Amino acid sequence: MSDIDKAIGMPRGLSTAGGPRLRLAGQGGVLLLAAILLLLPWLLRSGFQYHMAVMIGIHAVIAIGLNLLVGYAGQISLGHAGFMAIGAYGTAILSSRFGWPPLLGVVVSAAAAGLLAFAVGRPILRLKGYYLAMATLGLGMIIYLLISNEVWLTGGPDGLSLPMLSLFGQDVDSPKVWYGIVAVLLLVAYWMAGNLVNSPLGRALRSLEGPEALSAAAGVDVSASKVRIFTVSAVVTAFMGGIGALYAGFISPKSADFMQSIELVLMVILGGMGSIPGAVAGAAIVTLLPQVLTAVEHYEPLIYGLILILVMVLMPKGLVPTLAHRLRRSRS
Amino acid sequence: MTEFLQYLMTGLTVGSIYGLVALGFVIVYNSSNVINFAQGDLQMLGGMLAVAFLAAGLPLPVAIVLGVAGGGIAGLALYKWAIRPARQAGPLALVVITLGVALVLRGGAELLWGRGYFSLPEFSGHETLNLFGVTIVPQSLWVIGITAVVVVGLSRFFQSSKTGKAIIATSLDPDAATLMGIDTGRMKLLCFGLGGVLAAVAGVVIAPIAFTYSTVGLMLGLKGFVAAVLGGLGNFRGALAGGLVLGITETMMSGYGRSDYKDAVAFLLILVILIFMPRGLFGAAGGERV
Amino acid sequence: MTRQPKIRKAGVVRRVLSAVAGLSLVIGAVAAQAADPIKIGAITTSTGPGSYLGEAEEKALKLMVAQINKKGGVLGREIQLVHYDDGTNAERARALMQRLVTEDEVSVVIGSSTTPNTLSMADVATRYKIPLVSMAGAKAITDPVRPWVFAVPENDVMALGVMFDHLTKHKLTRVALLSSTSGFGRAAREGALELSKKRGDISIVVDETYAAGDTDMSAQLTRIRGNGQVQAIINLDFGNQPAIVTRNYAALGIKVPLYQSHAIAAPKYPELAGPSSEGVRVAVQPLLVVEQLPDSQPEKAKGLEFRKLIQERYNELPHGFHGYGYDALLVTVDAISRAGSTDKEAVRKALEQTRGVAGVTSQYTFSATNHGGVMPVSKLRMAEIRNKGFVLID
Repeated sequence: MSDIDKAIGMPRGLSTAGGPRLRLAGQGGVLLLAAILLLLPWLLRSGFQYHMAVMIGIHAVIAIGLNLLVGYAGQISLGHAGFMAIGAYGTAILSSRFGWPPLLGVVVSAAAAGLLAFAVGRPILRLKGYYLAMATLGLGMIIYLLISNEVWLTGGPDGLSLPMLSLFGQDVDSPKVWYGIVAVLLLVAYWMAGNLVNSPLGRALRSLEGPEALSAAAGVDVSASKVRIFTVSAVVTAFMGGIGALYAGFISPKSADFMQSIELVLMVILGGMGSIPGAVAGAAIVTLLPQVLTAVEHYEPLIYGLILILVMVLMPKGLVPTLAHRLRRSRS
Repeated sequence: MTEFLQYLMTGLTVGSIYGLVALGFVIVYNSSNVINFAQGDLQMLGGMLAVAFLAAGLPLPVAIVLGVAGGGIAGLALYKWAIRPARQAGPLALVVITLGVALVLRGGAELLWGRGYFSLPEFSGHETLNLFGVTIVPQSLWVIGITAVVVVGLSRFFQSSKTGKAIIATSLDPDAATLMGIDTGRMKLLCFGLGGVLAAVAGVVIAPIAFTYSTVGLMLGLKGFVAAVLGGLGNFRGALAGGLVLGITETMMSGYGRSDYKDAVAFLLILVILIFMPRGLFGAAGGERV
Repeated sequence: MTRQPKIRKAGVVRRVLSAVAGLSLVIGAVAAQAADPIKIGAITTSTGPGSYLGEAEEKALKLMVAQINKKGGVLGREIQLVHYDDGTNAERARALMQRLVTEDEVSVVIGSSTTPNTLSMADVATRYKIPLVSMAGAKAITDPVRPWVFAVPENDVMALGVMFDHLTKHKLTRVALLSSTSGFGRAAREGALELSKKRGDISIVVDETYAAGDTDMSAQLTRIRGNGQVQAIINLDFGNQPAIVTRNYAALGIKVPLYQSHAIAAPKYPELAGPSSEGVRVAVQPLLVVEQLPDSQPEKAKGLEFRKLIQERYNELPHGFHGYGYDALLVTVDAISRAGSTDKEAVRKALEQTRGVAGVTSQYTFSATNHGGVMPVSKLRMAEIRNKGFVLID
């Protein structure tokens, strides 16, 4: 690795080796996830536990999308909360102010986010490593500031309420029904991501982690591939942002802020970069941890921090890849 | 004109603080390729420690020095107990670790000192100066002066001292540095300590102006990161320039434009700069090597 | 899912202790321990930018629950407070509200400390039909009335009225507004602009804002200083930034008086701002200056007693936000005892029938059309910082 790479680019080799990480992402992984999602309701007792399961599901889909960008293509984004907010606020504004059908609002907002990602993607994605992180952070912050300041449209810091989603003439307000909806979305996302990483685009993506000149030499249209995956992850994130807003019935600028972007990236890294089941596991951890830690009240940030340090020291490649690796080693 | 100079003075003060935090980011980044997200919280620690030592009855200068030293020690500890044990991890895993350290520092400070705001007395009284109609708080001069001294001192250190050169060698090529007999682990440790000191200096000088509290590092850490990248990660003068550009832009926006969009304008400016100068204002030029 | 082992454990110890005490005292008390505790949920903003409000409220709530339990609880049952911190995050407040309702199964919820967080919880309260008593002060919480949502503090428009009255009285009619773009600052700014239009006696000649996290407001104050018309400055914000404004204001040598809102009226403000704050005028909760109130004031005796309790337990002087915590619990417990049960609709009805309940910050009378936030006369008083203390002024 040359010194310029080191000084400027994101160091290479961020994710695990190509083969084993795909194992759980294939058909077997989808079936396993389906089984878990089917069996989980027997364990969930209260409405709150369903609520947490729904939140995990929503975050997991976003993490899967982001993982394509961060884990597979090696492009870091610290601005994805901005796309989430475009989906959430787009849906809220279109449905509550203009009376659109909520689901149409979700689709249109996701498309808008995709358009934005496509438009800014080409100039931004030429940047490398932390410069890209900075640019996406800036993009996310601008979206956040627009949402906080344009009170006439977004309600500002007080947030916006959304109408209840109705499907087939029925109001969807039971967490159990939402669990079903989100479970289906998660399965679809998981299956599609598995297919994508094995497609030619997926292979092109994985080559992007390495030196770009190599990818280019191998016939990969580097910049087009990056823009495509950036757009895909933005659309997925915005779509789930919209779904999440409909589920919660309320949104505030907090969902667009920098810490939310960090949390999304945290899901990918904790679970394991370049691992689709890892994204799901990461989403579960990051969503559950603050709720579990309410038990220790004022010690929450301290213990949260210690857990982050310990996980990364003990499992530097993230939860799922590290565990999978150990499992294989103990077998052989 | 007076207004402009007043804004400029404010911008220089705020920008110097951003610059100091950015310098910490740069030094740590150069030595180990890690963006240390705990930088802002090390700054908080410096300010809080100084307040605590002062409250314990120590004289202000001693409390300040101890606060700065505390930041340095925390930086060393951060490397020794959190970064070094994970040295085989990728850079993003290390970033997450620094994020964890940031939370630990914040949580620890809240347990020790609570979540309230604390103030440190001005270093030399609060009689304001008046220069061409511009009001100057003496603490602003302290901020700007100390930043200048730190920058000059650092570039001397890196240019002429043996340790400084060893650090530069380590950041340029760790393998070659090891071959030349440099203990690169030690150099990295030193850089984290130095980063902690710089952050704490920023925390101590700003505390009399903007106070200190457990979450003060969130915003200033972010701004410091922005300044560091803007200046072209890896470049000292760049970090300082990045801080000043950011601070002055913000203040001018507050003064002449709408303050609710001053951050948005700053970020827009950064996006534009990065698009045209993909390696920041002072980043090294050159294409990617394989 | 982990619940609240800490509170649980404390609850067990307390229950054992009070059971022992109960045995030796009255038979009725023993019977009381046998009944299930009354679960009251509480969400405060104890961390993040709003921690300054929520921390005080949390302390008051915990202290007063312990006090009530010591005296035998309510309806012969002890109160179990299930408390969470929302970290100044409206979405977290909403999730925690959901948790209180469906997982912890509380009977009534107190919270939260800030307006956005209360509004996000209000939807959940309406959906699950559970009474919510807020400690936040925006008009939007109780206007229009939501059947399940009540509020303890008088709303921000009333609080602004006190400042405006004072300005008019002293013929300072052209004012500069300097507010934060955070939730409170923005709502208060809009309230002030509206009020100025409605009253017509105060005209706002400069309208400046700054962002959360800004460390220097000299630029905005320089512009205000440059405007020859300005007779007074009103700063609308909470936390540390009003103290920075105060210091910048003093450093720039601005001569017109500075008014600060009730949101900063606590001993911490003059301590942070230092000598710069001398002469600054602040709208204060009577609780903060309780010793200066005339004995005829109904809040005085209660306030003094509460001050003693807080000082003994936490070694600090209570301010308005401790008071909101106290009053929110008082109004809630009063409603539960009049309802004679923890049935949610019964408690809601009882809350609506609250008549003249005297708290430490105000007296409360609710109705079907008034769920709090509005009083016949504002309870706030104008005070000036003198010698680092708050002194009532005319």
